[in-house]
Amino acid sequence: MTKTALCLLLALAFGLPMVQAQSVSTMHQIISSDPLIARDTVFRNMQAKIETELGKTGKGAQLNLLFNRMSEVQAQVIGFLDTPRVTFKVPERVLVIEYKGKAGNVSIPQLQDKTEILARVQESMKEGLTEALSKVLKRFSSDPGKQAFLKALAEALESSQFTVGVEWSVPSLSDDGKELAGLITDVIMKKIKFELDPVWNQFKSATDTVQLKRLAGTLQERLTAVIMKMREPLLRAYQTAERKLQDLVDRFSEMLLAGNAGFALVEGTGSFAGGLIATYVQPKYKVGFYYTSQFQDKDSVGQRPGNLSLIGAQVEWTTEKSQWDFLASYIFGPMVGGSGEVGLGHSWKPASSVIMGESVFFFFARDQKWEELSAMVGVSLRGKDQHSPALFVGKRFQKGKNWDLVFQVSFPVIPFLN
Amino acid sequence: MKNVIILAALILLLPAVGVGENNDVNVLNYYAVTNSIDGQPLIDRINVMRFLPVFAMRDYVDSVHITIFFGSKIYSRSAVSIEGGRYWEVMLPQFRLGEAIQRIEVEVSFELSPTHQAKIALANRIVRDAVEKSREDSIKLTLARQKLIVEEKAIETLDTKARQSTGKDTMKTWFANRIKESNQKLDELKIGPSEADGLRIVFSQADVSDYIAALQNFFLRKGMTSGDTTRLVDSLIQERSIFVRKYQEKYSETRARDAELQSQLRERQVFVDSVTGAIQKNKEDLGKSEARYFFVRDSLAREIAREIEVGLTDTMYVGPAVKKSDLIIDPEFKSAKILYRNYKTVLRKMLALDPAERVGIFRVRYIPFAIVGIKDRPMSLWGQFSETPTTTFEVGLSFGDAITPGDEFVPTEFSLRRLGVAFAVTQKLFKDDADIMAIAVTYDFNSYASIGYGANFAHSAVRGYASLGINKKAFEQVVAALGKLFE
Repeated sequence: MTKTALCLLLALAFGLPMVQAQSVSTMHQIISSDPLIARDTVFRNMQAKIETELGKTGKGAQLNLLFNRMSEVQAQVIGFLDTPRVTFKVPERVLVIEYKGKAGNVSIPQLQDKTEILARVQESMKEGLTEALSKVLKRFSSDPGKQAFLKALAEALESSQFTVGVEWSVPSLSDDGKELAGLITDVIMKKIKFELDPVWNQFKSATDTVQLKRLAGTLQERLTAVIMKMREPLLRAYQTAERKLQDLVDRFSEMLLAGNAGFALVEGTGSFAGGLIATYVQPKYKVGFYYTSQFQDKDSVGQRPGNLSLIGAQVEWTTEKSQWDFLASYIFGPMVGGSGEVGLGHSWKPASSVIMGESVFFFFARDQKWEELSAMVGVSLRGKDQHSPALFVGKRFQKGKNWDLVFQVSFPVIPFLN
Repeated sequence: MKNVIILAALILLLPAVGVGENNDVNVLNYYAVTNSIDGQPLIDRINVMRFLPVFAMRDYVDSVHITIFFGSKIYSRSAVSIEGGRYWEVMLPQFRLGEAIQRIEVEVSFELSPTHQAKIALANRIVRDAVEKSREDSIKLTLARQKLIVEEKAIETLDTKARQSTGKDTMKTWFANRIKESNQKLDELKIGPSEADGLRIVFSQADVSDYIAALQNFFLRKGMTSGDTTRLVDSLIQERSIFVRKYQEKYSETRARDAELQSQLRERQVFVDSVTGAIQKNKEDLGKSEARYFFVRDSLAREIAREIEVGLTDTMYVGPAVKKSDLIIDPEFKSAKILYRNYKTVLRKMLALDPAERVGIFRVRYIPFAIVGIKDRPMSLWGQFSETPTTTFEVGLSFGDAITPGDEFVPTEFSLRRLGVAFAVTQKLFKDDADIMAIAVTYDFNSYASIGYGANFAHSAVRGYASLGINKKAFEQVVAALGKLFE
């Protein structure tokens, strides 16, 4: 089958009319098509170990089974966020806050220190959440799978309403969820403290029993409201994480065929390019072969309407924080036979959801002299999402010619193979 | 340059449109009160179903489990309570374009009213008390039975004792032997037993003189004068009198004791008989009372179950879909389960949509085939690979959301909302020598394809313009089809 596909691609490549020269480069489209850096190392490792996690056959069915089991635990995780119980014991004049079987109490009027009472609640919450997360992680049979789930959940929480207004740090992925449980607990406790403080001050000034009992009731209502409000964002984050893992598994294959399409604007006219890339993907690198057709208003020399087609190869290498791309294209056809382009790109993530890149492409036409070689330098920006479009702004430099800026937008087309 | 700026701005806008809120959640609401569903599955989105319990039951719902049937798959998950049980949410599976949910089942487990529990608790208590009392009686009777065994042993002992202590037969034998011996001795003296008995000594002081007188008369009558003979007769008579008396005394004593033992035996036997009767009666009573109390409890349980059933199948209370067969009531009436079933055929018409069809206000389309008339040429097909290759795009607006999903939603075959307006340009943009600068009325069939019809204003002339547009989804499908070659 692979052979058939490659023959088809080559036939398409050679069967199309070719013209010459280019004002814009299609290499940007290749670089921005499903870049490795868009997926964190943890996820790439998990994708590489899918067969360990789910077995060689029945990927879809077993994945569904895995997530079904996880959903049972999800109910426990979310269900853990339960109603606290606040009581005021009259003869002893003691305020008791109880959460999941663990209680903290403080005598009135010795209310200055609420640290202990909150510490007990926090301890109870952390223990329960750690246990619940641990149960989820036991559903995975490989470490990359566990780490991918933790990472996905941590990311989803970070970008959800759950963490709005509070600090959030990146949890460790190697401690079976203990640190993540701690972070979630910290967020909840911060919100609890925020609600607790005003009522606490009223407690200090209250003297009669009736008032104190009423305040205990108010406190219970507020704490319940805070914890209940946490359930939906936590659930949503869990769903987002699950969906992300499903996507990563469903849409991944070592042999990936992707497409791309792009608009470009330069020299007051537009250009359109579209093509296919076949890649062999590994966690740290990928090797691809591509075919692209570019349609533009005119060529750069003859000012005639011109299209061009090219084939090329791409090698992409990525580390934790950056990605390098090496590309070489052969542009062929009656007018430009022997023309070529090589490129080098570097990509990195200035923010968690944005990928920025710098690249340089060298183009040499068949009839050009060495000193007429043109170089395009540009920067690109795209989202981290696999389907995110990419924007490229570049400028071509060539001896004796002043080129306008190029604005180019490309769209990856990632097929669903399952 | 102006054109470049306009289009640059447009292009810059595209990523925002493309990226647009991919992580949004698409919600399908399932209203128990009407057994209806709002919303429609979307592809490429997290689809969640929110089950909204009936208001009157909201505070009693313990758990919700949702099962979705679609295609060959059965997807079943527990929902999570949100906002204090106002609704229960579960994530749905990923759908492909055009897939539809066939059936939905929602299993709701909830607490029953404490009134029912109180009634049945009372009945249970009555039964429990009755059984407890019977058990106590049984324990008492068991103890009595143990006592009975003791009594029975005592009777046996008494009986043995009575037989041993009396020794009547031995005494009779002894008496007969002595009489016989006495008779023989008297017979040697030619005295008959009756004669001897007539002389038998009495033991009161007052009778001694009578005995002596009678004895002398007897000697005279018999002619016994020898002193030895008379002394022998006297000693024989006295001896005989003593053992007769001794026998009489012993006999009386034995008879009295025997009578007493017999009396005790009778008493104990009566007691044993009464206890045995009581045990038997208690056993019968226990069986009867248990049967009676269980009957009362079961009757009450049936009554309560009917009452609950009537309440829970009341469409005004739980919604229209709950039938008797969809109810499971806990025997203790603490909880019950209801199965809400949405088997409506309209579900099959609520196909999973592409979000683009929902958002569909801003549209960009690639036009592989445009039929265009320009100044000096009639309308003809202009394509990507024609002699004068043209890359044409349409950029435009639609009239808003194409779909307003709801319970009775049926995707329309034709909707005015899918109409729109677009302008079409080629890679020459708005330059004077551009062949296509058209405005067209468009109609989106779906998120894959559209048609357009309008006027081309290029080269300062008005000519016709018609188009078939495709978008990114169509490319994806083509690439996916090619990708299958690698599998």
